[in-house]
Amino acid sequence: MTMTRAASSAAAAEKVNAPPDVTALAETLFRNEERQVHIRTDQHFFWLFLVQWLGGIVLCGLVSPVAWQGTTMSIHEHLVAAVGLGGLIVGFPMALIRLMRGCGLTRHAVAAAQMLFAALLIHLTGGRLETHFHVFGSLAFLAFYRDPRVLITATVVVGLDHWLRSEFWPESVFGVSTGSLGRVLEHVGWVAFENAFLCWSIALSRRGMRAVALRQAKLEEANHRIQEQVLERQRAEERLRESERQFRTAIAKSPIPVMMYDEGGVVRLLSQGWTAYSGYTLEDIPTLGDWTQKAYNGRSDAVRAHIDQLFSLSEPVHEGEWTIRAKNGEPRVWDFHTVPLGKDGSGKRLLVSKGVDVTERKDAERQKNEFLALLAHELRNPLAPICSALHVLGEPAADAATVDQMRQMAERQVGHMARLLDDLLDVARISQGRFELRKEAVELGAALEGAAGSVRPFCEERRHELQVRRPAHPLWVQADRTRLEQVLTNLLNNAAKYTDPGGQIRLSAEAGAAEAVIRVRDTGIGIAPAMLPRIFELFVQGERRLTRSAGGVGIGLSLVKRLVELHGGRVDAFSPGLGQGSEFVVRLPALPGADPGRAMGQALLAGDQPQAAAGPAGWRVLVVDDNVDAAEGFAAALRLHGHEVRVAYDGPSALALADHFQPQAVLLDLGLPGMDGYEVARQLRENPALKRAWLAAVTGWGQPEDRQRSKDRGFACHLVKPVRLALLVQLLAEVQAGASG
Amino acid sequence: MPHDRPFAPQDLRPKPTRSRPLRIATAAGALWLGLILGWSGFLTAHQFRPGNASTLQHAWPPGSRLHPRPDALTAVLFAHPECPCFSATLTETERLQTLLREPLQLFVVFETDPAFDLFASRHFRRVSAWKNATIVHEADNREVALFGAQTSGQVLIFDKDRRLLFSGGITGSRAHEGDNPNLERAVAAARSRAPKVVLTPVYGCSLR
Repeated sequence: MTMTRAASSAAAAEKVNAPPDVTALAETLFRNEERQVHIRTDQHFFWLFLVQWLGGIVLCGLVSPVAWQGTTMSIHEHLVAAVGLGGLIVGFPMALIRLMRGCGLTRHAVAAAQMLFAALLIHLTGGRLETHFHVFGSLAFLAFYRDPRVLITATVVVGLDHWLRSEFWPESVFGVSTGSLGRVLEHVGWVAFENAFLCWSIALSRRGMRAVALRQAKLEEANHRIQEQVLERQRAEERLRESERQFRTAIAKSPIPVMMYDEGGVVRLLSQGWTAYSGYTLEDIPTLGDWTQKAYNGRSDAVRAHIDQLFSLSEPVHEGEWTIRAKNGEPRVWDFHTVPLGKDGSGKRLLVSKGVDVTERKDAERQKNEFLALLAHELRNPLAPICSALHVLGEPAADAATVDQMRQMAERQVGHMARLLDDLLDVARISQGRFELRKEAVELGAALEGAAGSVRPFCEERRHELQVRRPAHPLWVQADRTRLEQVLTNLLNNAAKYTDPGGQIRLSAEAGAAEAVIRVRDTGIGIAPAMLPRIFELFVQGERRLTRSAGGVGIGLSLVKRLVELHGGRVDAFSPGLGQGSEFVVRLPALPGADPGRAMGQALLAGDQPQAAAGPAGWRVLVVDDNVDAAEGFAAALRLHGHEVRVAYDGPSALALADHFQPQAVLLDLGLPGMDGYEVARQLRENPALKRAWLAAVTGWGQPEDRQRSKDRGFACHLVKPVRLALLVQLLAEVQAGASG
Repeated sequence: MPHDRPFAPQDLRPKPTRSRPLRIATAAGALWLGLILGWSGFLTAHQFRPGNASTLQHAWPPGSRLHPRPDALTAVLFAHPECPCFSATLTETERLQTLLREPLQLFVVFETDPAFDLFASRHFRRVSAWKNATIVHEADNREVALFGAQTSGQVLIFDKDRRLLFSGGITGSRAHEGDNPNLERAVAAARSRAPKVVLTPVYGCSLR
C-alpha cells in the first residue's frame, strides 16, 4: 500500500521555518490516508446499496411478486417491503455518503443499514439459511473501513434485531416459540467471532498504514532537507550571480578607469571611466596587447613585460604615474593601482587595474607652481624700490624734493603690493563662498569718475589719454560701490598696462535694455583669438613679457568676472586680434527709477589721497605694536603732524606706559605676543583715566566678523594693515576735532 | 522539484463539523431508525397474520372422492397454485414425512381456476416429483369445499380410521421455512393419536 499522492502532496503549506516533525508528519499522513480509505469505502457502499436494493426488488419480483385471494391478486407485501423498506434502509446512508463523505456518522449509518438490509433480505427470502451469509459478508465489507468501531455498530444492530425478535417473535429467529438470552448470545457470538478476526485484520492493516506513513514522513522530511539544501544552494548561487553582476556593473559603470584582465591577455571588463578618459572601448582593446600597443606605442613591449610581472603579485601595488596616449592622440597622465583577484574558474589569474587620470591635476600643479613663482616675483618687485627709497631717505644729503619723491615711490609700491594681496584674498573668499557684497543704489557716472581718478596717475605716467564718458542721464545700479569701482579700476589698470605708452583708453557707460552697459576700450596689444575664451580664467596670462614688466599674476580679470557675476551681471572681452586693441563690456542690471536723492554722495575712495586734517595738534598717542619698525613708522608719521607719541612693543609695557602717559588715542596691534590686543584694550578700559581714550585696532584681519569683534571689544576703529598713514592722520584729526567740538 | 516552501502537508481530516448539520443528521438518523423499526414491525406482524382455518372438525368428510389407505396416516394439503408462501409449506411437508417415520399418504389439492395454468405452477411441478403424493385438481373444487379449506397451506392429518388428528399450517409464519412449533405440533398430533384435534394457524393466500 502506498500513501496517495493527494495525501502527501496536499501541501498547501503554512510557512514553517523549522524542519517538519517526522512523528507529527507521519500522523498527519496516516490520518489523511485513513480519511481517503473512509471516503473510498463510502463510495463502494453507495453502489453496493444500490445493487442490493435493486437486487432485492428483482428477487421479490421473481419469488413473491403478488399475493392471492382466490383469483384476485395484489402486490405482495414483500415486494412493497423490498421497494419501500429497502429504499428506506439504504436511502439515508446513501444521502449521507453524498453529503458527509468520510464522516464518522456516515460510516456508522452504513454499518447499521447494511445489517438492517441483511435482516430484510432474510425475511424476504423466507429465512433461508443461505441468506444469513449476507450478515457475515457484510461484516467483511464493513472491515474495509479499517475502523473497528464500525463493526461494533453493525454487531449492536444485529444483536438488537435478534433481541427484539427473541422477545416478540422468537419463531422468526430461532424457530421456536420461546427465545432465550443464550440463543441470542450464541447468534451474536458467531458475529463477534467473525468480528474478532476482522478487528485483528484491521489492526494489522492500520499498523501497516502507520508504517507506510512513517516511511513516507521520513522520505518527505529527507526530501524537504534535500530541497532546502538545493534551495539554499540556488539562493547562494543566485547571491553569487547577483554579487558578480553587481561587481561587473560597478566596474563597468565606474566613472574611474578600471580594467580587469587575465594572464592570457584578455581584457574581461572595462569601465565607462576607462573609455571616458582614454577614448578606448572594449572593442578597441579586447586584449592587453591592443591596449599597450595603442596607449604606449613604442614602449608597448616594456609595458607589457611590466604588466606580466604583476600577475605574480599577491598584494595590491601602486605602479605610479604613467603617460598614455588617448584615442584622440592626446597624452594623459594616469596614476595606476593594481589588485590581484586570484584565479577564475579556469585557473587563470586575474588582475584589476585602476587608473586615476591626474592630467588636470598635473596641469593645475604646474599652473600653481608657475603662479607661485610669478607671485613671488611680483611681491619682490615692489621691495626693490622700497628698499631704494628707504636708503635714499636715510642719506643725510637727500634734499626735500628727493625725499618727497622717494616717499611717493615707496607709497606707490606699498599700494601696489596691498592691492595684489587684496585681490588674492578676494579671489579666495569668493571661491570659498565667504564674500559679501554691501549693495546700495550707485550712480554709475560717479563710479566711473571714481575709478578713472584712481588710475589717472598711472595713465599719466604711461602718457595714455584717458577719456571718460558718463551716461547721458543718471544711470543707477544696485551694487557694492567699492567692488564696482574695483572692477572698473582693474579693467582700466589692465588697459593701461597692456597699451603701449601714448595710447588711448575710453571708459563709458550707457543704458541698455533694463541694464547698464559699461565699456573699457583701449588701443593696446589686443588679445589673441585663442586666448579670448580663457581670458577670465584664474592664472591665465597673456603675454608674459608685458605682464612681467607691468606687474600682475593673472587674477585681476578672474576677480572682475566673479565680482560682476556676484552683482548679477556679466563681462565679455572682445578683440580683433593681437595689436588691435581690446574692449571689455560689463553689463549690470539697471536699477529702474532709482531716486537720485538716495545717492550717498562721494565716498572716500580707495585711490583718493586723504587730505591731512587741519585740526588741532598735540594729542597724546600711544602706539603698541610688537613690530618695532611698524611702531616707529607710525610714531614718526604722527609726530610729524604734531602728536605726542609713545611706543610700546608688548601688552604689559603698554599698560604701564598708558598708566603714566594717559594717552588720548591708542593704536593697538591685536596680534601682540602673550597678552593680545583685546586684553590690553580691556585693561585699558578698566583705567578710569583711559575710559574715554580713542582705541583703534590695527590688524591684518579685515573680515566683517573681525571688525565686529573689534567693535564689541570697545575699539572705535578697525584698521587693516598696511594702514595708509595719510588715512590714519586724517582719521585722528577727525576724531580729535569731534572730541574737541 | 524544489519548492520554495517547507513541506507541511495539509491535514485532510474534515474540519470539526459544524454542530448544526451534525445535529440535523443525527436527528434524521434517529427518525430513520424509527421508521425502519416501525415498518419492520408491521412487516413482521404481517408475517404472523394467519389466514382462515379449515372448517372440518372431526373426520373425513363423507362424499369425498378421495380414498385414503386404511393402513397409513393420511395428510391432505390445500394449495393455491400461485401462493408464494406455499413453497415453505411444501418444504415443511417434506420434513414432516421425515419426522413421522411411518407411512404417510399425501393428497395435495390445488385450487383450480381457468385463470391459472396449473401445470405451469412451480408448486405443481414440485409436488409432481413426489412419489407418494396424489395431486388433486378439480374444476369445481369440490374437495376444497368438502374439507372446508380456506387458506393455502392448510394441512389436515387423519389417522387410519379417518379421524382428524391435526388441522392447520405447518410453517412458523408466512413463507418461513425451518423448524417451527406448528410443524412440531403436527408431528406430535400424528404420533400421539390424541382424541382432540390439534389446531395451528395457517399462513398463506386465501383460496377463495
